[in-house]
Amino acid sequence: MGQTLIDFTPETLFDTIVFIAFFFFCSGLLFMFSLYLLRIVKSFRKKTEQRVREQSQRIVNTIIINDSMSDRTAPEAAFSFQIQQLKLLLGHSTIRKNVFIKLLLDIKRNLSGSSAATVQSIYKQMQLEEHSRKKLRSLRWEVVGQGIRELGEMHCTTRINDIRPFINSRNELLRQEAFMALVRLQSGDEKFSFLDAYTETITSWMTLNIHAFLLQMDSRELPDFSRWFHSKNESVRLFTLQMARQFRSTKALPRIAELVNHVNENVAVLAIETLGEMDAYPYSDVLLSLVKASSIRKVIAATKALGRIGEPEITAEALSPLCDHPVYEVRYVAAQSLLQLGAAGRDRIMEHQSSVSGIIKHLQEPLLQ
Amino acid sequence: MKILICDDDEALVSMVRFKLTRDNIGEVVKALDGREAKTLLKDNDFDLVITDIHMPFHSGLEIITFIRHELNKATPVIVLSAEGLENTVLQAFDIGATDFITKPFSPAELAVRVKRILKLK
Repeated sequence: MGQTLIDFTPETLFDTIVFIAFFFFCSGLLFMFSLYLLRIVKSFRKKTEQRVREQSQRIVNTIIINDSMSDRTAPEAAFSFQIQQLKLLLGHSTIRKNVFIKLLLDIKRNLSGSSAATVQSIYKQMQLEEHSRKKLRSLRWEVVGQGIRELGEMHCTTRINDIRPFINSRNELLRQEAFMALVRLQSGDEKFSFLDAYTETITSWMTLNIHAFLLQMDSRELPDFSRWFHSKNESVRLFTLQMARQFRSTKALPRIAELVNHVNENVAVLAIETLGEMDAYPYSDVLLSLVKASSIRKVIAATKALGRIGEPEITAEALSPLCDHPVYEVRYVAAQSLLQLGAAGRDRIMEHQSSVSGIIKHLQEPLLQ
Repeated sequence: MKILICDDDEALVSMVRFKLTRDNIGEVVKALDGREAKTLLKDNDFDLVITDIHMPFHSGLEIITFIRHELNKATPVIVLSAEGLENTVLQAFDIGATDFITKPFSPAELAVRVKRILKLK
């Protein structure tokens, strides 16, 4: 019989167990030591950030408040001196620069008018633009997003070309940041021109965020969204339609009416809903022709819109047959719209009492009013 | 004059505090959340309260209700909020706010309003 490689005598077994125990003990110690070290580093970084924030906030406060004084008590030299102080405080440290930029963004978010312009001026005087631009080359998307936001918020118009490529990024949040930054940085007719070359999807989340952002803008700066109603990108068509609806762009109504027969059902349905939401009374005839459409979604959208904007007599007559429609949802919206039309609608409902009595009972339930 | 500013945004609190102190309007005390604000209000008499609406623990609207109904005080309250919806503004005035300023705002404008409310020159 051949000999085994390890001879498991009681002594060697004991030595092996001691060795394994010692190994795990040392690894545990090393692990706990690295955790402790990491904690010290984190706490040191946090304290440094807090200190930099407090020290720089004092100087920034002085600059902003002095700058907003009507008598401008502080001369230009004082501004340069304070900028020098800030530069000394930040040095070449990336962490300190990031803390300072975050502070500027936090302050600017709350300020308007000349005070907000002063914050931008501090950022530029501190030559932080290049620092933000470098972030665009990072491999981490969140750092790139930060860079885009900083350049946009601080109105670095010379960086438009650096940001533009991110508008068609595969990352949804980067697209969103680039979208908002470009709207901030571009002016006049160019403000939304990037939508011409937009190839990606505008998700619901992006739409919500962009809408919230556009709400803060001067409404006179908003473009004629109908310019993109025939964009090759369905997402852009839907987005611009939604924006036209949200900002009640009455100028776009004739072009919205043209979209109700669009080959893409999503676009057509949204156009129909938009006409109703925008109380486009002159276009109720366009909607009347759709209550006999083959698409159930279109019929439902048109019926709902007509309940809001239709001429009572004509609309009630057109909607009346829908009370016997085989699809429950169509019967439901038809009854709902007929009720909205007042006396003319109620008379028609009486003719179809048997088909919609349950729906009417539900719609007239006082607790649901 | 003693002013209480309640907001969870430290940068904003620091800015407002600096502006009001610099304009010699008075002593400015800060509270970074609703709970701290309530404690300070219980223990001190303030000539003016500036409050945000959305704060941890208690909202600005709760702070106004607390001043008016629990402390039974007529201390003027300026609401400083990013939420400028008609309903919110009306609700704030309805429960006893003295003024409403929407963020983003100008510190100079805030100081003018504070002076007007405190009847300072």
